[in-house]
Amino acid sequence: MRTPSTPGNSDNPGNAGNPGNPKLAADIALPSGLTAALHPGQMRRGRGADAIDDVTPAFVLTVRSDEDVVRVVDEARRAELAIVPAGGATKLGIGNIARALDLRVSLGGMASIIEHSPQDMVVTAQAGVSLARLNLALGKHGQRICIDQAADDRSTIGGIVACNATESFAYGYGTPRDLVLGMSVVDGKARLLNPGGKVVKNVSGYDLVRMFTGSYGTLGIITSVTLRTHPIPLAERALAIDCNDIVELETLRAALFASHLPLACLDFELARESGGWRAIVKIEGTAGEVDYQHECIEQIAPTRCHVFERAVPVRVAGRSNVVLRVSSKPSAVVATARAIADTIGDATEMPALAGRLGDGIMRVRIQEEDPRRALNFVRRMSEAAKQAEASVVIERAPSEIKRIIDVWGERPAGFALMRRLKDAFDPQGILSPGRFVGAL
Amino acid sequence: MTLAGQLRRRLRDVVGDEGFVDSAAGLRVYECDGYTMEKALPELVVLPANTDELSRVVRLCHREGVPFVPRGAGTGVSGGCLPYEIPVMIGTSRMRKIRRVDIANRLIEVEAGVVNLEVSRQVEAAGYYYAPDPSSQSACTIGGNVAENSGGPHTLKYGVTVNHLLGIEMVLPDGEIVRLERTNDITGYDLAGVFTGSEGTLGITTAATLRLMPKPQAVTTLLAIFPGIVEASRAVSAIIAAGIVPAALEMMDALVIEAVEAAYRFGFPPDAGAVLIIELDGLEAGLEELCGRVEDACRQAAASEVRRAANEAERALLWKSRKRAFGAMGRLAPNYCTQDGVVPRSKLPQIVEAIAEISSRYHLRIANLMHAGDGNIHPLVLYDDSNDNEAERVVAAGHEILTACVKLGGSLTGEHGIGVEKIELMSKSFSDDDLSAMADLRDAFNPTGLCNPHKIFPTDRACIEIKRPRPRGGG
Ligand SMILES: Cc1cc2nc3c(=O)[nH]c(=O)nc-3n(C[C@H](O)[C@H](O)[C@H](O)COP(=O)(O)OP(=O)(O)OC[C@H]3O[C@@H](n4cnc5c(N)ncnc54)[C@H](O)[C@@H]3O)c2cc1C
Repeated sequence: MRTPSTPGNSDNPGNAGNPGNPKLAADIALPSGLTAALHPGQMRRGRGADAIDDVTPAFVLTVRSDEDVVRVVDEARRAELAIVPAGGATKLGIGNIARALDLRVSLGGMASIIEHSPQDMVVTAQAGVSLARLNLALGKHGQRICIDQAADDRSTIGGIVACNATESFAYGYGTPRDLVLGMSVVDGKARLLNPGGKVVKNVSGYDLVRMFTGSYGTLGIITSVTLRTHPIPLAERALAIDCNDIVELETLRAALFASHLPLACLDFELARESGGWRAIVKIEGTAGEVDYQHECIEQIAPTRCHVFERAVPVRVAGRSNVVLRVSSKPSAVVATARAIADTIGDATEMPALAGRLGDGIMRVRIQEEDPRRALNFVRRMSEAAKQAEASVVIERAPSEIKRIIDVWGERPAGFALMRRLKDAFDPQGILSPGRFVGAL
Repeated sequence: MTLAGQLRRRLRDVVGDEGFVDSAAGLRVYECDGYTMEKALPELVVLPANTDELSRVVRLCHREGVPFVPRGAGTGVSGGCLPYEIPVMIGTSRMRKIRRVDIANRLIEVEAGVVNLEVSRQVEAAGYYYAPDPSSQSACTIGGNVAENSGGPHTLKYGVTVNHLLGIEMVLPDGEIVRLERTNDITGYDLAGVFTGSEGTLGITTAATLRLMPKPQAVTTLLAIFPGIVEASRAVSAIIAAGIVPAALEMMDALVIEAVEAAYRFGFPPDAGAVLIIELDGLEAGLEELCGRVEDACRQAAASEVRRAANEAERALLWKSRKRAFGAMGRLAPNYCTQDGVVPRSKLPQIVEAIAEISSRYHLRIANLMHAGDGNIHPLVLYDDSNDNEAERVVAAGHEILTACVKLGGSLTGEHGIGVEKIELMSKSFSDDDLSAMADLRDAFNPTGLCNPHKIFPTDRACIEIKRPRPRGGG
């Protein structure tokens, strides 16, 4: 994910606020239990830059330990104060507008790498460690976390796990759900839980790790995570393959998908400059394996395609205040992309379209200041996706739009069970209330 | 508890005569799974033919407040489907349809009773396979695999069941049918993910959508012979430290080798203290280099010999020796009990030492079989059930081993589950808060507690300990 254009993209307390914010949460006082337990430097009043969507929290609390988090949740639950946890704030734009927001709880102060055991290929880090810093530390031992983020210097590992966020690596390595082995998390009942463990295989009791991963801060506040690491490959290469038209892109996708090549990434983009379709693959392995895969791709690519080396996989430049995530299945991804591309024809500014051919997930981004036009854009895109049997999540949009549309789309099957889980783990509904699907 | 005649009749109406078992001889088959230390008879077994029938069976039980337990092939090894104080057993053996094969999207949807190996057979010709391969794969069912989140030798590189699960269709404990998606982009909580590994206590899987993998271009299987288990463990660490993730990295100690050699005559050297079976797969272009590095690592760790399987037949025999090692144990002792613990793989030497100490203190021979790359150990405690009190000692020794795993930073179970076998150890592994959180999860899915009670957690409602019947036969 790229930098949100909504205010408040940093938890740095020194960050200047945006004074002209429309909505301020009711003026509340911090519970005395909290003011007694936290250091004064850990608490301050919220300001415009802290707003999530257009709701400014009454207070911003910076927690420093698991115990701090337990204390904060416990006091909040007694006083019925709504909390939204925040890491590097790169993904706070995802979600519906919170029903209430009293405390923005920053995990940025919990940023130590607790333990890396290279032999076991496992690392435990506090939630506030950025992905880049974690990978830097692991890199010294020839290892890495196979999760990628555009803003990896700001995306924290806690936030990544809370959103099950990854990008191109999903094709070769799965999502964080496949990489998280254990965590510490404080649920809405103020219990400090330690589901999972530090070993790669573990089936003792229920795996609550999988429940908290991707729960977007609505069931608990993750304070640390244990992840499986992977070796850094001996060699790697990114290749771009320019197709002359979308039919070629589909031919190429189908051929690569059906091949035995263990690609790390298999992406595509609609090039903004040329309007052409481009596939981007990342190959990894020994030097011999990389050369071999490169050769295979040259052979697989339709004859008129242009294959060339490229520095990094898909990164979309430019600002955007509306971001839609569209998901289809591999066999329909190109058709979906085409339907989306056909629909954007008359937009004011050329939107960006890029995504993953391997698992069918793509993003459309646009910068559109006029809310009516933005809403119109969202509606047209959603309709086009629906026609292509794809689903849409609005990852970023002006608050005006979020007030009208549930950003998560329709309630999924099993929603009643989700509701029961929410009630069980956050009975007072104080954790990111209303932000998740079906206003959970 | 005896079932009312009316409920019996209704259940029989749903599944028909061919899906209804209540004769003494018929029920005997269902008195235990692969964990034979405890046994109990259900009052009846119903075998629904499809999801609709299964849902109606569950609805009836729910309405009458009658406990029920799901069962697949009964190869579980922790007593997960022991029908202790559970009148109705629901088997999936008649639910064996392949619902769809979708190669274009690399997935397959099968009913819960489909046997693991059958999934790979279905897609073999197209060049694909289903990666999780428990050693019991020719018998165990996909429903059982989901319930136990089963692994296998090849999970080191490719992950366990949950990493290959794209969705499930399930019947909730009140009979409602739900379909839970599990793509990379699910909206909402990962219900299918959290359900995986719940040992039949949160509901019954009726079908699963599984990820298919293209068969690797090339595979090489190596056999490395070591003077002892400590040297072999060192080689495991060295291979991983070299940045190599083999497809499989399995260890057998001298006792296992003895049994396996007697049964399958692979040609393991009689004086080997331990062997590693190391499988590397991927692109031909890289395999030779990887093999060379693995061989070096083994030699540096004092391997006396490293061989490559010369051909597919040799490779198959090597894997047969490994996957059927359990079956060969009968050659060493009349009975054995399989344990299943996990340690961080760097702690393998310590756990091996601990096991040796426990073995001599309890006067029990213990053979070691391990998914070494995962740190997942399977100590096989050998015993003779006809000796007085020996079975009790086996249970106690097993618990000590697992406690040692937890102390070393590992887990009580890597793939066999808690079942009834390890209930008492749960509180050693988890805090009260963690246990209460798990209970919250169970209550969200299974609020009446009718679905597979007395498993995983000490029964809280009646606060009774599971009674240990006098152990009878072995595995
Ligand atoms: C020789 C041998 C080797 C083995 N090797 C391995 C191995 O390498 N890796 C590994 O992980 N395991 C292994 N196992 C253990 C066992 O095979 C697995 O746990 C397997 O997944 C159980 O499948 P099953 O169909 O036999 O399930 P069962 O034994 O019938 O049931 C197991 C549990 O699942 C529940 N269950 C069954 N079906 C369903 C359903 N449809 N819905 C909900 N719950 C259900 C039951 O209630 C029970 O709690 C081995 C066992 C043996 C005997």
